[in-house]
Amino acid sequence: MRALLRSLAGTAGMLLVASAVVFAMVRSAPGDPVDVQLGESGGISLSREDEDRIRAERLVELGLDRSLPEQYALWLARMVGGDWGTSYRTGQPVLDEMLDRLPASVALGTAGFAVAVVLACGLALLAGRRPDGPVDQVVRLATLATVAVPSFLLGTLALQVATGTTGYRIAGPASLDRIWLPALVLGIAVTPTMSRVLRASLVAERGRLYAVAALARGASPGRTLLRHVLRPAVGPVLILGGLAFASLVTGSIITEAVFTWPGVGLFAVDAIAAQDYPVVQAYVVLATALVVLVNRGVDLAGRLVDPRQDARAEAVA
Amino acid sequence: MRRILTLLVSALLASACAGGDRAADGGLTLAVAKINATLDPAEALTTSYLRAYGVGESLAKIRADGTVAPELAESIEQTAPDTWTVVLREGSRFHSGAPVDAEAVRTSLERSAAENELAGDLLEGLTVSVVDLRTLTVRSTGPAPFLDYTLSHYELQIHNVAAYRGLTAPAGPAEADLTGPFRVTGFDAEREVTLQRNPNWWGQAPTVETITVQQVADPQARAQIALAGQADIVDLLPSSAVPELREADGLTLVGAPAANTVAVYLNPASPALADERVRRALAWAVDREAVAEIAGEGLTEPAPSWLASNPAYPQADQQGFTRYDPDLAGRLLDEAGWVRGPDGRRAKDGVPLAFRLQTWGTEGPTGEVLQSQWDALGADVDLSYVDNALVQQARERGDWDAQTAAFTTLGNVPSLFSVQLSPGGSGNYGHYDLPQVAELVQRANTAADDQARTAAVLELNALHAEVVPAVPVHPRPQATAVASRVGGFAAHPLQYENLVQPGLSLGG
Repeated sequence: MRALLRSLAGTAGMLLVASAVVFAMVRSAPGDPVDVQLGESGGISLSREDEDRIRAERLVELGLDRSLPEQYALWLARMVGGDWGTSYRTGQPVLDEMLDRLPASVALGTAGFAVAVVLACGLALLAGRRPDGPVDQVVRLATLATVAVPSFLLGTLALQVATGTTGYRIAGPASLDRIWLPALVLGIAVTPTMSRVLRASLVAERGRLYAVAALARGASPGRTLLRHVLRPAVGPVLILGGLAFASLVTGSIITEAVFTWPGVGLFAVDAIAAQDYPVVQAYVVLATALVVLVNRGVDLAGRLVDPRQDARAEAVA
Repeated sequence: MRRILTLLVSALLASACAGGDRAADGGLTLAVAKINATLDPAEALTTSYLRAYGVGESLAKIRADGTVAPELAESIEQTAPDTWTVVLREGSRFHSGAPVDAEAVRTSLERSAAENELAGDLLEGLTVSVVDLRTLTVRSTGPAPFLDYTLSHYELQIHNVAAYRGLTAPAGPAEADLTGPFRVTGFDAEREVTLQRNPNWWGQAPTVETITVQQVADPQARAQIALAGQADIVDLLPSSAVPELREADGLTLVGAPAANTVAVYLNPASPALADERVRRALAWAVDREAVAEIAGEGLTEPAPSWLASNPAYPQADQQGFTRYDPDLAGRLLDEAGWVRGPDGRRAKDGVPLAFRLQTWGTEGPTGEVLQSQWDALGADVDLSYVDNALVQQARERGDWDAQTAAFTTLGNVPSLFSVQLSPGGSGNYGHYDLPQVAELVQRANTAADDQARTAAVLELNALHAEVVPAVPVHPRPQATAVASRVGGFAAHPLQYENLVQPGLSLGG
């Protein structure tokens, strides 16, 4: 119980720090939402007095005339009370906007993660069979080359190929016929790191006494892999995978923008451009919360998969 | 968690089905850079979108040639130096079927002025009075020869105020009650808008039954959509995709130079740019044909003077920097004391001719070509591509030499010049103080006839070319892809007029 409370307090503290840092960073950026709004008023040329008057009125309207600490305290108090504020652009409650878009991001993140897991496992098993053999070298080169390609370039190229060959529909709502391509791109982007870590882990576990002994006792290589090697090897990948999953759900901003995927990432991109503070702040808090929660979940899952972690922790204690 | 899972599955399944329905629908499809957040025409960031979708109308509209034509009004005429009389079309109705009478128009303008600062600014000092059911007068505090341009502004769309009364949430399709040829049937903020032909429209009914507008923010994705034929009209295409789009089958690339002039604003407080002769030299040393071809991908044209992007003043094409004249530029710099050294670079009293040029948005390529052209003149240009907010900040601090910007040139032209050249003008970045401006603006506003008015406007343009607070370069290019099956699309210098037009038709 005490551990749970400690964990909750730690999570809350982390969110508080993240929110303060984000608040400071967002507000230190040049310009403000009124600049953006006046900039979009194309066609109307205002005199400087009128522009100043309108600016002052809008700042008061948005509550941006108060001091920064005051703004932060108000925002935090409201956030804790469940009021995530109202988007400057859409005029809708930010929480509703986020919940409306979150399913699309979760779907894309999950699908991308599934692609990454399948690809990473396949490549790691292939490469790990004969360490430093020809297959391992080819996989290493391929993964290094993939890491070097920025995701926006990968996305744009994939879009070009897929629209030409499969008639992939670029614009539209989140749907099953549109999810596969961004999921593939996201999965491919995450695969290299996951596959390299899993491969290294597999090679290390294969060399352990119990794995060698199992083989010596006549267990088939496949059975040894499944029963004695894979399970402990998955531990380090779980942590990495957990972080990758969290970042895929909330951090696939570029992929969502390239594929016009209507998730929270795309919403955040528009919010950043318009300096829509409540949305940007809510997005970062949401992303931080997800990373923290997934991290905690991964810790738990790691102990379930490999109970030796608990034993090691007790030994250290 | 359960809520999110339910939403997730239902959203994916429902939208998978919805996608198929829309494809079978056969209406017009549009892919645009941005969709508005609300449907309230009194919201400053909504009005131009409603206009672009053919949903909203003003009393008048600006034609492609830059002149004003009545729109929701049957006629709009200046009946006294300070008064315009507006007669509404007989029998015109809002989308809901409610009549558009003089009182409804007055109430609509009042609401816009009260709730939208930009509309309020346009209507400041004007008194709108109802004469009878179909007639209104609009009075200003002084002579107002350009009031028709003001009344044609998209911020002043006529809407049924009763439909928006008492709203506690942003307006949706149920509330959006305007007068355009299309009405909103579905609205998903910043994602998708669906439109249907308005049977109550005063004009000839559009032949297109339904329209779907989708937001595709990424410019490369929009280009891909156009190339793949996944939308009938795609706006604001990136210049990098223009060559490929030109070659593509099944679409036409329409490039209409916008009614704004991309110009390099020059700060006279900067030592290199204080001398008028240096500013003029920079303007003469611009090969505008080359800039339009390279930076604008051939979708724009040279603007020798600031007003040249306004199609209502074709005379402005003959003013200002009508040719590329590097020799004259060199002589002007020599006269000003900025002479070439053995290395080809110009300097004065040991100080090199150097300045910083900041560009932002779509004007990066223009900055690059100018840097190269001014380099040939012997000037060192330190080019940086920055965010608009940083550009503004640098201006506020006075810590800038040269910046690109594009102001509209279509509308109340003397007032637009005033903004560029008067000490308090928000477009007068260099704080130039030219005593002639107020007198010329006054002359334009009080001129007895069109000829005298045009002469005063052209004098303002000439003054701009003489002082060179900004080097005019070209109108902003507007690249729109139109599918071959779409008929009746007419290019327009105003960006928001290049989407839904009542005369559009869908062929085989």
